Amino acid sequence: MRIKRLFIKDFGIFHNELIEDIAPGLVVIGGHNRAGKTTFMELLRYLPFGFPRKKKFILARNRHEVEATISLSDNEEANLYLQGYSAPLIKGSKEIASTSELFYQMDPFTYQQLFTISLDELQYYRFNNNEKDKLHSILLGAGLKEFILAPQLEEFFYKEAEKIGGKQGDPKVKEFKPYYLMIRDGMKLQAEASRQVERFHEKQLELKSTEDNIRENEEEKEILEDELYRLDILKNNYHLYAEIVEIKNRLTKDEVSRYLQENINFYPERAKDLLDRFNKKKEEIKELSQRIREKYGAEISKDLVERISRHKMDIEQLKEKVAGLKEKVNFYFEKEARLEREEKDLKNSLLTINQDWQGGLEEIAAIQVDQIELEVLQQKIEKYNKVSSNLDREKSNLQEYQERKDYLEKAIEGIQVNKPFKMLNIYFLGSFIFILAGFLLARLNIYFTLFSLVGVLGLGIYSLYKYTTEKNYLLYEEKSKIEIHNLDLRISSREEKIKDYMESLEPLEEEFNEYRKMLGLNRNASPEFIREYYKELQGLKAKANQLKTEKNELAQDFITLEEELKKIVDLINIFPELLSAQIIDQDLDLHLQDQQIFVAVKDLYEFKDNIMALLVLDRENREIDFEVKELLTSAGMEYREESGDPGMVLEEYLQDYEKYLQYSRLQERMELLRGQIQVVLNTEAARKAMDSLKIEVGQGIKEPGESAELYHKFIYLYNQFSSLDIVEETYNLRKLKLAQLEEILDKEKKDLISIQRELAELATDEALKKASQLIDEGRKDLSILAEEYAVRKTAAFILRKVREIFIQETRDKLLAGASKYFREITRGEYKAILPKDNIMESDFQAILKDGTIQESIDLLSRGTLEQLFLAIRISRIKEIEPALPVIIDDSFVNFDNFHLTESLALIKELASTHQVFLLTCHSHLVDSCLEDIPIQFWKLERGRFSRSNREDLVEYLSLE
Amino acid sequence: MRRIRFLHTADLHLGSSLSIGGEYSAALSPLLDNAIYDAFSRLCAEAIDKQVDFVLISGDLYDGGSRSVKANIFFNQECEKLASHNIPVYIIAGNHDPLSFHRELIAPPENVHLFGGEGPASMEVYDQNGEIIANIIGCSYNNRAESRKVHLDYRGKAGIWNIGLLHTQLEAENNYYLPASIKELQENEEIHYWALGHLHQHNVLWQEKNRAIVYPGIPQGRDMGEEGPGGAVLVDLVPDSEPEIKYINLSSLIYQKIEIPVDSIQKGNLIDLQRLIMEIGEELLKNHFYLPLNNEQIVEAYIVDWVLTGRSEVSSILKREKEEAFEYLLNSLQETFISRKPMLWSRKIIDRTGMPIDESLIQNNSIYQDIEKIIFFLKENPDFQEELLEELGLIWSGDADHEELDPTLFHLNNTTLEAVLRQARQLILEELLTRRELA
Repeated sequence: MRIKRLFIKDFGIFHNELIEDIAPGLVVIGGHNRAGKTTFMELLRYLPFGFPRKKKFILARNRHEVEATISLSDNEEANLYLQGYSAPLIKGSKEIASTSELFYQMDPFTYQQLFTISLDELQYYRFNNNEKDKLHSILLGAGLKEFILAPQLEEFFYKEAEKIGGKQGDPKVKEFKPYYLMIRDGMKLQAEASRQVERFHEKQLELKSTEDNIRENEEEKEILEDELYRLDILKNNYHLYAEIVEIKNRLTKDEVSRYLQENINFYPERAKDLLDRFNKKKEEIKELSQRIREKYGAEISKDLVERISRHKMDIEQLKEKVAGLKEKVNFYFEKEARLEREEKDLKNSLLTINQDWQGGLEEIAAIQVDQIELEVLQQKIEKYNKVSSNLDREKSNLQEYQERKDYLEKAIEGIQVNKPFKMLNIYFLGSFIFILAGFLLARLNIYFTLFSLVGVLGLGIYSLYKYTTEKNYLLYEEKSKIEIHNLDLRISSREEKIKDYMESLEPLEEEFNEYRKMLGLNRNASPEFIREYYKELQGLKAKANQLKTEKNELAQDFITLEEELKKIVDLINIFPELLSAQIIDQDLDLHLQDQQIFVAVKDLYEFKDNIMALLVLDRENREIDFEVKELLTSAGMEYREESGDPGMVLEEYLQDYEKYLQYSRLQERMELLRGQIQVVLNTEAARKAMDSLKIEVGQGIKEPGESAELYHKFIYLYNQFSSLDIVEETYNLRKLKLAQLEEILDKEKKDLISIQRELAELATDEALKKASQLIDEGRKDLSILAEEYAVRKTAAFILRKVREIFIQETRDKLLAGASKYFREITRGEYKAILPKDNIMESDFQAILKDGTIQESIDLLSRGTLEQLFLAIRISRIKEIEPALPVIIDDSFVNFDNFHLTESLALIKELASTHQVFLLTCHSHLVDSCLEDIPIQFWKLERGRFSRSNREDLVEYLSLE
Repeated sequence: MRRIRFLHTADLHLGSSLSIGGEYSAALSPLLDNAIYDAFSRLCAEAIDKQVDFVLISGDLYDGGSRSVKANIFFNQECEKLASHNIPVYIIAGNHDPLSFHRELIAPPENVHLFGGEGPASMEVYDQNGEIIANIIGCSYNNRAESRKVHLDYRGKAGIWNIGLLHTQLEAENNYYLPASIKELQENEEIHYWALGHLHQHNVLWQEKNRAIVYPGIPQGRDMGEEGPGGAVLVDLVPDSEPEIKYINLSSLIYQKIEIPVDSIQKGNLIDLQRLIMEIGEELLKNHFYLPLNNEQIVEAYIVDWVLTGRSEVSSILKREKEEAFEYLLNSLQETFISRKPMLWSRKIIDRTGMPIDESLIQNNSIYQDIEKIIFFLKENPDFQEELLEELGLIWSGDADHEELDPTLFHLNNTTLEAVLRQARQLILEELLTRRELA
């Protein structure tokens, strides 16, 4: 393939630079530094691949743009377009997909290293290892690339494998490790599991023995617990029983037994009560006696008391009687007084009516009013009255008429009658005057007209009035005169009648005088009065009679009263001790001494009461006595008359009672304590604890576990210890022991559980399962890794083998061509180039003419080295089909003339098969280009190409 | 001689657990716990149902590494059932439950006959009428290894069936597990039926008229290494005829390793992969994994490892996401199939996929050819394999002898080697191509 034409639109220093008709053979381009040679080289380097997007690449003004026309091996042409960094576009007649096809799938590095030979890129030292290896492989032969890759890959696979399993493939390391560990764990478990079966039997035995131990210990524990419980009971109730003992001691004294007999009953309340009563009674008696003495001054002798007793009833009745008598007396006095009063009243009444009366009650009684018949009197009086009244009536009528007459006469006299007609005249006159006045005055004022009208009117009215009145008077006068006449008539009639009446009255009057005489009235008394007086007298007489009767009664009463009072007094007198009895004067009327009597009675009564009370008290006292006796008996005490008054006896009794109380309290307390202890003993737990204590129990206990038996045991227990302290000490010791035992038991039970659990586990295959699972899982994952490891190791192995084979087979042939060229360049000084024994080593051996081997390129001079590399490259280039363009850049500058000539000769040979671009700035190089083959010369000046020839170019380049 | 019928089994490993690897659903738990026991229960049920004359257990009844009281009790209970049907059981101790291991804590019922370890012994079997119907000869392992060739001393009785119980690896040179060869067994003509045990794969090694040499296989697989259904053999010895040997499936759980080629998945889509596995799973489940089961209904679960192979873009996701991707796939698989009857439990996913690579790119290149060459050598050349094995380090130094397995080590068997080589090649190619492009 050859580049025919280049159009560099934009690339570094080149802009729109067209190079046409580029020769297919050797093309020498000469230019000074910075003319663009290196740039041009870069362009050609990347032409097949597209420009790389890297930092230090050639810059473009706008965008890289290059066009190239290439002629292909079969005379076809293709156009290459490079723009920017994109892949080259190809347009050609044939279907060419990409430049890689064009360039026969050569990679950029190979192309660059082989086909672009640059001065400073000849040697290895400029490269890093990777590139060195690559280069080395390139230099050794194109197909070696893979072989060079091989060691890389081999290394790579080794490393990969190492990552997984280390260098040795030891399952214990690296990525294997965790799964390895898992498997190991599983194996451990497995081993463990198999041991388990043996353990099973062992554990069974262990189980049995542990169970036995536990049982024994449990038993012991129970015993100990019982004991502890008992001790605890004892400890807590020790003081109770101690007290019981103490009480027992106190109660065993003889004296006490008396009190504790069964049939002893004390009634302290009653005793107290009795005592109280007794004392009270005593007090009362004392008081009463005192009082009696004080009050009545009477010494209370037995005789007196007897007397009182005897007459008790009487005295009692006395009270009633006295009450009645009191009343009677009062009544009597009242009556007496009343009668007196009434008599007086009677007299007074009569006197009131009749001042002239003389005489007293008798006389009043003697009046013979009966003789006069009230009825007749009444009739007479009525008649008299009637007539009288008629008389009066007439008289009054007469009077009336007389008076009226007088009046009327007087009235008529009085009237001065004016003639009515006079009146009218006055009126008219008057009116006229007024009208005139009016007219006259009207001149002065119109209102005066009014005035005159008014006057006229007024006058009119007045006149009218007057006229009327006078007319009335006249009438009246007439009337009166008539009336007077009438009256006169009436008067005379009346006078007649009066006379009649007066006549009829006379006889009556006389009768009435008779009456007056009879009744002791004076003459002035009216008939009515007589009647009234008569009536009164009737009443009074009746009353007087009554009074008389009452008076008689009174006298009777008096007697009776006196009698009765006498009786009382007699009774009182039975008790002369009573002071008051002496006050009564026997001679006087008793009733007048009623107060004293009554007081005396009262006193007596009271006295009796008191004495009776005293008696009662006395009796009560005796009753008390009796009760006391009873009491004492019930208390087993004797009642002795001589013991003194019941009070003291009672006191004694009460004291006794106190003692009794005390003892019985003690006994009760003892019982209580005993009860308490028994309650404690009677609980289930206590029973159980006590039960296990086996001792000889006394008789009387029918069943084991009976309270009595328990108690008995308790006492026994109590007696085992001399003090509470010792009990406590023992208790604590036992408790400690129990705690220890419990600890042991606890541990044993835990052991039991764990043994049981183990047995259960051992009977299952859980452990086995788990072990298998672990191993399984580990293996599963490990197998994958192992395979991966194997694969990589195998790959490395294969590659190594490949390499070895290759080395074995091809070593010698590799650099045959290069050796030839090297020989030529060095004019035979060097015979051959060989790769190192390890051909992969980026080094060469140079064999001198005489067979000496210079084992490393480091041993070669710079010039020789460059020649060596050149030789190898050229040899390679030649080998590679097809022929791609070669670019050489100033590589020969270090060669001496001799070598230069030879090198050029080689290049010429190369140019016979390849298009070779030779870029230089050295004139002598150009000069050395002998034109025994077609050479095309170009001048490159600041990015501008121009055809040239050797001479011109040499000249141009010689200029600095 | 009359016709007799018996059940022959071995390597029950009662007490050991099934490998499930890691967490599993609670629904699986009872199955896992009881599978081995259930298989034996079924066996006893079959024995009763088929009215066998006796039952033979050719060693490894218990699992020495997993001794448990539970196993003991269980076995005794089952034998009681057999006893009630007058079926005796004849047992020899194997390397996993040798006599020295205090096999039983609880004495088994009377119908169970265990052979001693001093030397071969005979036990006669009588039927209901008191007639002798068979002679069983056996010798137990005293310890974990047996180097005596006891089978050579097995003597038969004339006129009755002679059945020899032997727990052996059937390798002439193997001093651990009773060195013996088929030839030797065949040559001992006194023994009609060799009831073998120790190898877990069912195999009728040889049979002819009146005679057979049989490995019954295990009643229930315990690991992915014991793929396929488990069972025992029901044998009818018919005079003058070849023994009728019928394999009876007993296992409720079956392990399966299924390869899923991912090449059909175009883009790197995990969902597609999931769907693919599901589809395959469905089909397999529907068809009982195309296994030759004679009683499918007893199978309750398949425990499956999915091995992804082939090349697809999805490989990059798998390699990148790794745990998460597998977890995701496993979860969805488990969820989907957990409630089926039978259940399918996806135990793990093994990724052996690779990125799609254009092999044409490399075919001409000599390095690849060399790689192929080397791989080929590795497959064929045991010495080369040795060399590789050394490289592979400690973890692959596991013993081939499945009995002596150190669970932390692995053994590179042929299948694994092939898989490793395949993957190594894949990896190398991928890397080379990637680097080549980058260079």
